[in-house]
Amino acid sequence: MAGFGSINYVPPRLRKLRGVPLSLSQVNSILAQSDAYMATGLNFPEALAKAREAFQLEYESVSGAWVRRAG
Amino acid sequence: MAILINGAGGSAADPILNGLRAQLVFGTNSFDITTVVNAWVDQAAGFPGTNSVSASLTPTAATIIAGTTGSYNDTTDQLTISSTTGLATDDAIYLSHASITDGFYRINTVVNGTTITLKNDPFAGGGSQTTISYQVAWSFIENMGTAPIVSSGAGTQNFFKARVQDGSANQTDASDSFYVRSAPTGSAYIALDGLDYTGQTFADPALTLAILSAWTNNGGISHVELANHSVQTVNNFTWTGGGVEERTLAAAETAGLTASAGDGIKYGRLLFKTQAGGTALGVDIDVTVDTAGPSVLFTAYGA
Repeated sequence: MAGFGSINYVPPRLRKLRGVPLSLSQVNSILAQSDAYMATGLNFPEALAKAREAFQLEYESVSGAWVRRAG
Repeated sequence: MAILINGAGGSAADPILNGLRAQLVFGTNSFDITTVVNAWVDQAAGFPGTNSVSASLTPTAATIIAGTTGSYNDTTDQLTISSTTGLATDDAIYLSHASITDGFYRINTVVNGTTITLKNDPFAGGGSQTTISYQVAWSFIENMGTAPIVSSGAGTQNFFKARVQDGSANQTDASDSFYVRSAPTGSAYIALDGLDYTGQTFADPALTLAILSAWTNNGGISHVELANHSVQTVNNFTWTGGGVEERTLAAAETAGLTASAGDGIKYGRLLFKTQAGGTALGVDIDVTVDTAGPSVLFTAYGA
């Protein structure tokens, strides 16, 4: 998928994860991962949930933003 | 917040008329509902609900159709989504895109397995679009006052409730309410020249029309049509100026009614709807037209 071209185009409820804002690249990364899960047979909401869980394995919320975990 | 039908439903003083048909919808703007656990219509707040309507939802509660890669073709006026399985005309879908006002829209036609057209199409004329976010919503369509929806003379508050989950089993309980009220009697319901809509006598066949004038939004009625009286099977009324066709409430009241020529009892039926071409709630009307004044005779005697 091409992804969103601007954070302003992202539906408001998809711009945050656990109340913490995502960057545009982070949003598109999560959606790209959800695409991969959908290819395994999941519907979008199921795939989105798995993609968000996977994202949180790599990123953590620090001072109001998502940053890549150290190590 | 309140569930409103053409502006009506927010209070007992501005209720939806008992007997009108409405489509109650719940959905999401987070595009992450994986499970509709249940839906209810009750007369008290709180969860879990009591009167489940989950089995009556359209599309079914199990229908999960969502994504962020919807596309719109402005030549064919068609929206392409992941699947249209289980969808039908009038099903609701929540749409989000920079080119429209995010919100619920209804399906006009299901074109094929992935394509639909929309009623009040927000994309029409704005060019073809991509990265449209969507999730199909769920509707409970019923006549107001038909169980489990309750109506009363004073107005009853009904609660439409939904319990849903996302893919991480996070659960949301949400509810909104609407008031349903039984029709008042006589001219408070339908006034013909300010009087009761049955059994009155008028000298002039042209009659003013007022419907639920004391209810702020006229019970949620949007359109009115004339039809045959359900018992007499005739219609002796037209809109003043002609015609019996469906009109907006405002146009119907502005025009008023005219009874057919000739003195006598005139019969007809008003059909109330919540949308153009919608399911009607019918009310029989009858008046007596008596245009003949008293007869006057002269005689004389010698005095």
